[in-house]
Amino acid sequence: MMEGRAAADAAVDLELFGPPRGSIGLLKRLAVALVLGGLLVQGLIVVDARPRELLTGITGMADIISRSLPPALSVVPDAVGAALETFDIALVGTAAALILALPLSVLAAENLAPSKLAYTAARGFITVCRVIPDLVWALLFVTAVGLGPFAGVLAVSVHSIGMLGRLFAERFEDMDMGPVDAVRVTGANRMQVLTHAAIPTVLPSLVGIALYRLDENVRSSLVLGFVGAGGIGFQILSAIQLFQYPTVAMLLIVMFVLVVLVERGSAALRRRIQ
Amino acid sequence: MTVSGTGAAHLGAAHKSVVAEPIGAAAADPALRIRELSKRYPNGVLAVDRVNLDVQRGELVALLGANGSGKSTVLRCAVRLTDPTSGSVEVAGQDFVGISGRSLREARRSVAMIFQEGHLVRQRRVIANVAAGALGRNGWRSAFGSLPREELRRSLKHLDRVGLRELALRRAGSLSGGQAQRVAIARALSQQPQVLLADEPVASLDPDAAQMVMTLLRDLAACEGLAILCVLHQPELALRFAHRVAGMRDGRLQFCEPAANLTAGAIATLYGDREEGAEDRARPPAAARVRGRRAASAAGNPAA
Repeated sequence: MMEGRAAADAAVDLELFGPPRGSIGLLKRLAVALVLGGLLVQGLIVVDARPRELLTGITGMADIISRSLPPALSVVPDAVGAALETFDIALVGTAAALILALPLSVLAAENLAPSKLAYTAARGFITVCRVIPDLVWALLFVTAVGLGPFAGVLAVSVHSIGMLGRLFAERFEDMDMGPVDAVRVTGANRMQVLTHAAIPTVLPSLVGIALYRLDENVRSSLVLGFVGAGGIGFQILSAIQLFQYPTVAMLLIVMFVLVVLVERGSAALRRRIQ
Repeated sequence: MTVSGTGAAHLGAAHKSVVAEPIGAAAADPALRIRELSKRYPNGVLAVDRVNLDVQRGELVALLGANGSGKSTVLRCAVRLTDPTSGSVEVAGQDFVGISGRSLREARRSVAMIFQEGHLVRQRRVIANVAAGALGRNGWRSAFGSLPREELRRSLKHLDRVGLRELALRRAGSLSGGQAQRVAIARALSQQPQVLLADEPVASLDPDAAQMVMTLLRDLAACEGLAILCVLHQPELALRFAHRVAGMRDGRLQFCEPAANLTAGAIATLYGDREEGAEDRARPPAAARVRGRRAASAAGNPAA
């Protein structure tokens, strides 16, 4: 009896505190530290890190900053219009993604999918949308529909289908299945189970995720402008190419205000919903 | 009130593979008929082993047993939330096991189930939760989250029946445990079932709330003619409120007797000499004799 108790105690100790420390334990830790250090060093070599050039080049950066001042107030109306376009690319792209991501996520949730085939197909589609970066999608859509915000909307939308689809599906998979079972046993059909139990149960989370995605998409849309997908990013690129640094400065200020406003607004709405 | 105790004569043969008239079988045409029901999980655990049980209209049968004895699995198999490995379940003569898809959905309308935590959709209003019981009747009319006006009116009446009409517009998530369970009962009523399965409906409630819920269930059996099979962990509640008490151990039905005939010793055989949650189904369970000394706490039994 006592031996059994001692063995159980030893097992708990091993699980909680690991094996007793000795020379072997120390060697292991040293080996792990060396491997991690080696990884970091190879990373620095591969990225060609040259801190000295950063220090010598800092005068060039200071020169650009000095030439950017004062920011060009005259471009404010255009900058606000471009910022609105950027916001609209994110808004329309996110909304379009939501419409497709919600049904896809239901198919891609193991506990709600009607069949293994539907689950696999939905997961595959979501993965493709997500894995290809939005910048690559933007390049593809600029080729397909030409320069401008529509290409940006399509890029944001397709990438967001992947991101939202995955996060929504995970949320469905993690939800408490009790209310779903309770509605299912009433004889409700699949659609009723979704609209009366599954979606209402996770709705606050879904809205929170969608708002966070909108917030992310506003920042993505800025970058997408650099490849011709419209918005304030496109104007920044044009101004840099024309060496119009005061215009660049004002565009950056408007962009900063836009990002902060969207971040704050999205965070406030998420808090309210939760 | 229909009380049947035909299984009593067979208690000694509880573990024979087939008995002429199985434990738990009732004489007349039952609302719920479970025959030779077994459930073996993919990991090899035999959770339910050849269970036979009948529940008459207007009858409340309590199902007792330790954790892991298979009580909840019987209920989940009966409503096909879990597919049984073998055996049959009939509700008012309708087979539940050999059907699927639309037929299963239609059959499910006649069996309501309430769960330990109520399982309400916390984000929706109480009235919407109650009306959800009628979804099976409304098909595509309520496919997109809305509910027909007449169902909402009927749901108010069911809420009134459980004494919670004034909470109709509250979010379900704001209810106490007892209130949530009564709303779950109203949802079950909204389904207009013939059979009500209750899976530990009072397990998370304080004694007063538990008594209120059990009283409500007993009244529903008596007034609405519902056949109620109720999993309980409190023998004293089973003896007080149920017409018959069934006992399970290691997946097998040990007895199903009028509550008045049960002894404390018989109930103790369900729990004794066994580690809580143990899943070992290999051990042959000891046969339980349940005749003899009446349980002192059975004095208040409505079936007596």
